[in-house]
Amino acid sequence: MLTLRNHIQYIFIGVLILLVQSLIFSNINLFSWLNPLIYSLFVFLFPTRNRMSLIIYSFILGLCLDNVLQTGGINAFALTLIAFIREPFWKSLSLIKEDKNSIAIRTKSTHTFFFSILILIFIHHLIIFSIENFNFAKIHYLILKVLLSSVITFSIILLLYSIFRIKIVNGEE
Amino acid sequence: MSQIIQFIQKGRHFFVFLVLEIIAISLIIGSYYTYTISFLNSTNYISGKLYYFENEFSKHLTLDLENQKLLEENATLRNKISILENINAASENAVQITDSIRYQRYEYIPARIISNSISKKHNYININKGKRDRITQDMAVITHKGVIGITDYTTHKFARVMSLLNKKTKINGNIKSKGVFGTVTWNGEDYRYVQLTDIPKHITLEIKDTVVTDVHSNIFPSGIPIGIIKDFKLKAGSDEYIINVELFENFLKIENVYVVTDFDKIETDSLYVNP
Repeated sequence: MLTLRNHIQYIFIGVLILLVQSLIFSNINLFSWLNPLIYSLFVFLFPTRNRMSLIIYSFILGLCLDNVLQTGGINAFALTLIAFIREPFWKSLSLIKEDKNSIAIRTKSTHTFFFSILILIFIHHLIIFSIENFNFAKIHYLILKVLLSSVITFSIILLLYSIFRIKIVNGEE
Repeated sequence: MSQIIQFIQKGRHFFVFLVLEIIAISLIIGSYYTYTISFLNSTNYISGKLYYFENEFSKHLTLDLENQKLLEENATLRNKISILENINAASENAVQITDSIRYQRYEYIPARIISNSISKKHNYININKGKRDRITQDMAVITHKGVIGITDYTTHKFARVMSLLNKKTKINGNIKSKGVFGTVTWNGEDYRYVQLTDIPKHITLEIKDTVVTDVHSNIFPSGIPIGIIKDFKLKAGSDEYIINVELFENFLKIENVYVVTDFDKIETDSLYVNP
């Protein structure tokens, strides 16, 4: 379970991510439309075995982002969804061990972890772009946008992981 | 009974998730398909302040460009003044008639943009003037180059502007050389072009004709430039054109705008309200 210190820590991280997203990454306008949505990093940073807190925190962060970026609920929807599917997804990739005593194999799990992040980012972008467009007439254009945007977001998150030496979350705690 | 409780406990994550997603969906629907203002808008105190402080820092980065723009605007205004002075001097020895017809209809309030976006389908702009500067709903926002948007929500210190680059925005446009009017909307794709629709087929269009705001608009003063015609095609299955209009204003680089107060607004609006 999370202690009070953990709660304060994650609220602080959430505020930091909100500021970075809204002040820096939402003003990039690469090719006039591409803004990396790095705030999904919050979901990957959150420790495992706290699924309820993760879902609620993600929803609140999403709402705050919607407020600041004026997207009216889209970010909250997408972030809550990936927060919800994170745990079963990681379990299926055996990133989290059901049994507490077993040891996760680090070297192998690093690749799997970043692969899972890529998939989650892709789902996140797909939801956001398809709700925003709400028009599947130009689906190839939509898919291209989603792919390009999620690859760039993924590389930025990878960069952040390596620069700040963020520990990879796994079932060991 | 205990089975029900057990069932809920087992799937508690899912139920919380479901409730939150339903809240999010209702917010999305509320923001997209109705014209009401939800509580999720960044004109409120905290985000307004956040953008205000960001702007306090970043406004120094574009001073050169802004100076250049102001110089250009001053030059055009000076040219206009000199023309008007000539006309006045030429006309019958300056007989001034004080008449109630001659009065100022529009007032221009300068404002500064504190946040802007172009990459979404529904873009909004926040400006640093609000109710205390007599800014209300449905006022025109322009620069000297062209139309920017319409104010749609104000707080004490800030106001939110529905940008021209918003799928909900509809304004009356007029092809200057032809005198025909249509509706200017945005299709949500490219921030450099807007679309002029409702122009009937029998009118011959020319590339590079200027599109300005129409006299029929009861928000914008008439003759504010919007852009020039880039290309046009007939709408499939109808006898109207869809015209791509290239905007004069670069929406990526606007910093200073004017909010237009129309002193006749109450009077003109009453014509629409009363049957």
